[in-house]
Amino acid sequence: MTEVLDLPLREQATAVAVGEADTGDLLEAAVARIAERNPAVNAIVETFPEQSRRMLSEAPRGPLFGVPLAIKDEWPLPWRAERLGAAQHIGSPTRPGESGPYLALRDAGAVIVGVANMHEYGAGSTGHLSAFGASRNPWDTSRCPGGSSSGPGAAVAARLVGGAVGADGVGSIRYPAAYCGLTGLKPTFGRSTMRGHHVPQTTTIVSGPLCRDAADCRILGGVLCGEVLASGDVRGLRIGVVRGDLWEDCRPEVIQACRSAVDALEEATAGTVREVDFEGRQHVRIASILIGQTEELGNITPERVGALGDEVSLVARALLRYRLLIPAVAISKSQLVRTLVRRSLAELFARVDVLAWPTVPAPAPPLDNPTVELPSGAYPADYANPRQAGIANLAGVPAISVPVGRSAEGLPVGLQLMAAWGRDELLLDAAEALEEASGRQWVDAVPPIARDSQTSPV
Amino acid sequence: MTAGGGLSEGFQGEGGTAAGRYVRAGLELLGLRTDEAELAVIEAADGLYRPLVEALTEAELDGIEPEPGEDLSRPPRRLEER
Repeated sequence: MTEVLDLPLREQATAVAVGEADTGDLLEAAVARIAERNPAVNAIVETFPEQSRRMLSEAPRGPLFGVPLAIKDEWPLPWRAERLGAAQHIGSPTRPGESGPYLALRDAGAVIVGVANMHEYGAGSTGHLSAFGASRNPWDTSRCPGGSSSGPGAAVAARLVGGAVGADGVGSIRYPAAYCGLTGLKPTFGRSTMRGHHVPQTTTIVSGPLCRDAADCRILGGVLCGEVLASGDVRGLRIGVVRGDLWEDCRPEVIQACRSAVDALEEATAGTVREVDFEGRQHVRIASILIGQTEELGNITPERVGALGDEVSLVARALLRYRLLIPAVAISKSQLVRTLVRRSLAELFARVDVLAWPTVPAPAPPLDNPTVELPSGAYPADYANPRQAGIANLAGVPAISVPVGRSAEGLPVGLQLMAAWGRDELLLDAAEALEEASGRQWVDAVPPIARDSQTSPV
Repeated sequence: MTAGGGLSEGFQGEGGTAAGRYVRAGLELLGLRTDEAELAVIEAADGLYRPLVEALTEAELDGIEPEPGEDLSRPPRRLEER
């Protein structure tokens, strides 16, 4: 049954549907795979075989019937409250319950086989901090898997599961997708289910899929959105590239791989590439961070922050304090930047179908020193990454990260595509065109930790 | 943000930089005890983010057409569409 577990999500579902795979065997194989392989990547922080078996026994014959999946430690399950990768919760108390992603998976017939690790409080793009210990990148276990959906990324890349549910508030699905060589979709704001999330007032966070390729994201994303994300015609794709630091302040191998991918996408779709720009770009990074980092402050008090003990990381204790000192004028101006960017993007998306630039400016940094060397200098990855990804959350538009190459160290490189509101399907179409154009070499690549059970290309 | 490092004069004592005094006084006003290690992390973060916050604070953003009733799942509407 392990060979079925190595199949893409959709092929696992098909194997079950046509009777080639037994759902009970598949579940037990997934549990065994996690027990065997997870210690090396720390992607899954909790399994619950009894609840998983119960889910399976009650599963309807939906599109993911009998398929094992993982869910980020950001949503409650009926048998488990979310912990947000943290030793102490700081907002309103969490409790077990039927979150939107849980209900969507359940109703699709899927089986939740484990809760996936995440960056502590969701406040980081690396995944190197968690009360459960850092998740590790399956391509190099000394490297960051990306965050905050670190466990979903590492779990799918390590072939523990065929897909996982993440969340994206300032790029938190797309960073692990880029670092781990996966495809990760951040849906249009409000399109995917967020019921039961601990920040119900959010204007930035969405649930979304992390999978091996776009076709799998289409299925899992459709389940989370409650609608079919249908394929369309991507011929004549109008691609916009924004010159400046989004492209140029990146590691050379990232620039090269992403440029080649844009060229390939242009050719594959008989499309066009043109240089474009949008207003407010210089403030996007700080505006997206400030809005994302202050949305949940309404549920936080100085007393709660002061009560955090040593089991919470030093970085989290310090930065939660710092968050309480953010000037109101900066938050208010961030909202104006958001309006400016939204209006500018709306005009831009009348002239181009997608915008393209690297998802992250450098491949996965080391866990013990998560900084990246860029042409402009060395920075913490958490500082560098939101410049690339924050705009989608700020504006509400959908975005996707697609694997397009490998660095000299053998680490994945991701290209990000964004589209207008509601055009999530177009991103999946474009990602599939890109996969075909590259002969699927990047989406079918298998990280070292998963090669012992695979015969796929490496 | 993971940059750490030792405390500089900016965040030490009464005579530090304005940013250091702002942070220390702000935390004190909030009643938050903060140790030196935490202050070092805050200082490192402040060194990165304060220039961005200041640039944003000083930006002239007059004339942006507002978006009352903003719906982030859709493109912005023009005022006359309300």
